[in-house]
Amino acid sequence: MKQRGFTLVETLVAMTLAGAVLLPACFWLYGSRTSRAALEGFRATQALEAEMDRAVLLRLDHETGREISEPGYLRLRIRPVKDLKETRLIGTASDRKGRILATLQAGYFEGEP
Amino acid sequence: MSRGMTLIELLAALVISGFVVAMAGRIFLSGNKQFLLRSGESERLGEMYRLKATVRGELTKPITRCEGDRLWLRMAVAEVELGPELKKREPDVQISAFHCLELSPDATALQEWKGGAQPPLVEYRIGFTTRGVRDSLSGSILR
Repeated sequence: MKQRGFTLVETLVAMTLAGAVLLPACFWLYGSRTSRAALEGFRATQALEAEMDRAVLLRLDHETGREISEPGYLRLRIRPVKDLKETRLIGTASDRKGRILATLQAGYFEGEP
Repeated sequence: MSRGMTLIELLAALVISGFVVAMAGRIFLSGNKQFLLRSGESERLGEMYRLKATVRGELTKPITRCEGDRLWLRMAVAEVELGPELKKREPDVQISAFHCLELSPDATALQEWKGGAQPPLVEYRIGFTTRGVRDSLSGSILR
């Protein structure tokens, strides 16, 4: 039996269809991965910084978490780590998917006003 | 003897050229869109960093009063309200709000600053526009 390959027209139709689906998908993926990253990172750092400032002033000694929705969703989490007389506060800000956008550290010493 | 192109070959050539042109156009448009988006965001980000530095610089000065989202600083010759001063220096600034906080007497919560020693924590929110887009910068300063 003689084997018949794809005709030029069939190949073109297949390429056009694949391109029509794949190109927008690639652009969407590229855009969603890279755009707004710097701005989101800055906003996350600002929000986390404010939360950390409060935590340091209150000398936070337990883990705490809070969600904010304005201007974009963020989950702020602060975890204290005791190290002799020093308590280090490790803060993270993550988005809805759990991707960490910012990490900050602060600390205070026991007995220090 | 040379044979001319068949209709199918001609159509195929047209489709190929159309596909290449469409793809090139799409790539260019997408690149251009990304460039405009990024440069706009970069400008907004630059504006935010600049505002943050200005506010932080101003808040190193002694605070004399802080009430109802407003804050006054002791400048060289007189007491100056920070909000209008910021608007004067940065025309893009639309609104500003400041909260001065201090520890409650039992040190378990934060409360509005009642005067006396300088407030240990100042929280701020600045509303501004960049290229006609409204934006806001929120943050705090531990003094």
